[in-house]
Amino acid sequence: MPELRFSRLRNEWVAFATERNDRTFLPTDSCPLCPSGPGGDSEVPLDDFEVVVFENRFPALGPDRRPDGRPVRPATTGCEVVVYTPEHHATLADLDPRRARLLVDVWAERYLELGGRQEVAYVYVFENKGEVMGVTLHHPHGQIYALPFVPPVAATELVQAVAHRRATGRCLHCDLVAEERSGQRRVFDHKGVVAFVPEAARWPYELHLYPEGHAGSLAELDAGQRDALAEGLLEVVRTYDRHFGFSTPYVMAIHQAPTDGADWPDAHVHIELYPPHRRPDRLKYVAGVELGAGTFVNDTLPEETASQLRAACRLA
Amino acid sequence: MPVESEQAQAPRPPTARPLEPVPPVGGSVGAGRPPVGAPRPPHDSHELPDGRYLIAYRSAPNA
Repeated sequence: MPELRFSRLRNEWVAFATERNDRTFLPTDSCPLCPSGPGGDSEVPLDDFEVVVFENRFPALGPDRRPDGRPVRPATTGCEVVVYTPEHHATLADLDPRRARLLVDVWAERYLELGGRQEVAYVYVFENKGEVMGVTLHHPHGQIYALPFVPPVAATELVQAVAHRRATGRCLHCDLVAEERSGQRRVFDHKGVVAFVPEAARWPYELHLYPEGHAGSLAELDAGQRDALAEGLLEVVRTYDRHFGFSTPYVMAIHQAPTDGADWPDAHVHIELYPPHRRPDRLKYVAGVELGAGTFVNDTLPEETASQLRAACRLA
Repeated sequence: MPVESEQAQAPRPPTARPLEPVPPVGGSVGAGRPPVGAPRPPHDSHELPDGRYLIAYRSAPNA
């Protein structure tokens, strides 16, 4: 049974999920995320699908379960798997715009559904891509964690945004986008969607992607904004692949407003991507300074990596 | 090694808001926000043999 423990020393929650230690690991004979037809033995017993969401068999958090092992309804917190396509060898970069737009709709839908649950304070949508980022299944998929607390990275962003509002009367994210869209760290500015390498990027090719206008969550974006965001996201991951010359691993994180019942006018939805490569043949590792001191060391300059990404981008 | 005076006088970076040691209850999507900015995608809900849910989403016909 997953449990959360609170570290009094580090002021943070840590999730313990011992069942995950034996979860399916890079299977070669069959894929649990491929459609297996009605009665099939994969996690998706359907003939076909566009995008499916299901409860993770090996969740890092809840849901609570009955003594017979079946989930309790309604689930309090929990983990979902989002399968992007039935095509096993595809990646997010291979999706067509219509499928990418559906993915944005599904993320927005799950934000509302999970965020509406009583104990869910934060809906965290993310993707780990590539073995170097720890994936255990290659089939293109992402995950959603419905957390009973606001996680530290999002909390820090919110603290900064609230402080900026108090000091200036403006949204921190809107100000950052206004600065970056005309600066040398911009990668593209297309249909109101802006992608840039942040000024203090932790990762050499880290990118932040913002939809048009101020919105706290994907659920607040209208159809046109979602279309543009989906197109922009596809271009970001395709730009990585063109720049590095291979299907680029990354972590993708979507930051949205908490769902803890409070209003968060300073939250501003955006997507952050962290590829681990610092050059095509070298990885950046989270090591002594990052882990032990909490300070990232970046071997590149954002202005230079942004220039490289612009050269590979078709929307630049 | 002593800290340089300029560094010593530089403002300290802000720290994260302390997290509540007890998970908050009463959570919901924030009040006052538009509940949805676009139509929800059509979908079919299923139950897997072990009781977990699976939802198959489809693109809207006019998408």
